[in-house]
Amino acid sequence: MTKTKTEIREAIKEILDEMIEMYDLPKTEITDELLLIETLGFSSVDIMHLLASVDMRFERHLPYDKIMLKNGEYVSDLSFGEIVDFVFDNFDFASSGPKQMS
Amino acid sequence: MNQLIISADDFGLTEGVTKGISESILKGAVTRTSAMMCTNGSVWIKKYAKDLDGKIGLHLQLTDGIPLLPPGEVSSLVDSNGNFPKKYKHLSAVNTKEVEKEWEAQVKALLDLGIKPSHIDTHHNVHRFPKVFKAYYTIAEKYNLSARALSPIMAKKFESVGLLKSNYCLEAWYGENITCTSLIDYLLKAFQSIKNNGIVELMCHPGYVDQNLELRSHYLKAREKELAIFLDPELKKLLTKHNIQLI
Repeated sequence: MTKTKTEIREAIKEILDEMIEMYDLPKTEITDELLLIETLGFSSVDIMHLLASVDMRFERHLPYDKIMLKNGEYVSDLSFGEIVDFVFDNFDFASSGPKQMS
Repeated sequence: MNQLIISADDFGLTEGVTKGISESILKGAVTRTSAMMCTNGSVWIKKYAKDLDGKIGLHLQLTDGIPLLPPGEVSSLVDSNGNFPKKYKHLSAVNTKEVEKEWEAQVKALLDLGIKPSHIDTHHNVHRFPKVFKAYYTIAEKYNLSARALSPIMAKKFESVGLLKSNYCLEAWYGENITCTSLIDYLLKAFQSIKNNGIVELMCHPGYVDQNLELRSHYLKAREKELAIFLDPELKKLLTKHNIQLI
């Protein structure tokens, strides 16, 4: 089922708010410009956990290596807006879950 | 001196895996393990836990097993057959309260075997999800158990309540091409990344392949490769040479 960009933004914001509260991170207004590593103190692993939660929420499997890796190395940071754009742009092309259990 | 925990997941998965883990602790470099309560493996856990006092934690499950509570009580966690999904990617909108209830039952099941868990971690590291992490943190606090942290922000959270055992968890040392040397290289990079200031945990999966394992897992021969490396006396010599102490 297709989602609007607003629905995707709200869902990711909700997950991020949950992480901020759960891990006692700095209370921050979530804007498209918010940098997850610089501002919140995330590591690349934490970003992967956020993205895994987005997959769980939407029951999709998005190709996150396309946004996390540049020239074979982890990107130095990602903004909230970049993640929203990526999920929106790839949503309809992602595989939907659950997959066949193995 | 740098300090290292080598933690074997999946105690109780099958008899071959359980026996292999026991040997890897008693005769090799593995320092602790964590037991699975949802795989019908209690007989093997009891059989091989005898000499592992204080070295057995709880490998909390939401995947690859059968919940201890009736499916109706944990409906957000099970498929139409009442089983946990096989992989973490198949988890959908889990209910945190149901996770807590199920994990309470898993703690009780291990205690009923006469084993007080030394720590907790999760099968397939499902506590990566914030909704699951909430339940994981609740269980750690309630039973005062140190918990595997998967990232610096998780580590900080556990450190604030005195439940942090290791600062950095290595999740990606596996496969059939692993060697003693690749392990040492991987460990040295990990210690460098925390500026040689803290404890590193290596997550691993040693074991013997048996028929049950062939029926339920794709990770087979590499478990025996891991076991051989942990039993190799050369590994302990290399750890000492690089100033790494097993704890």
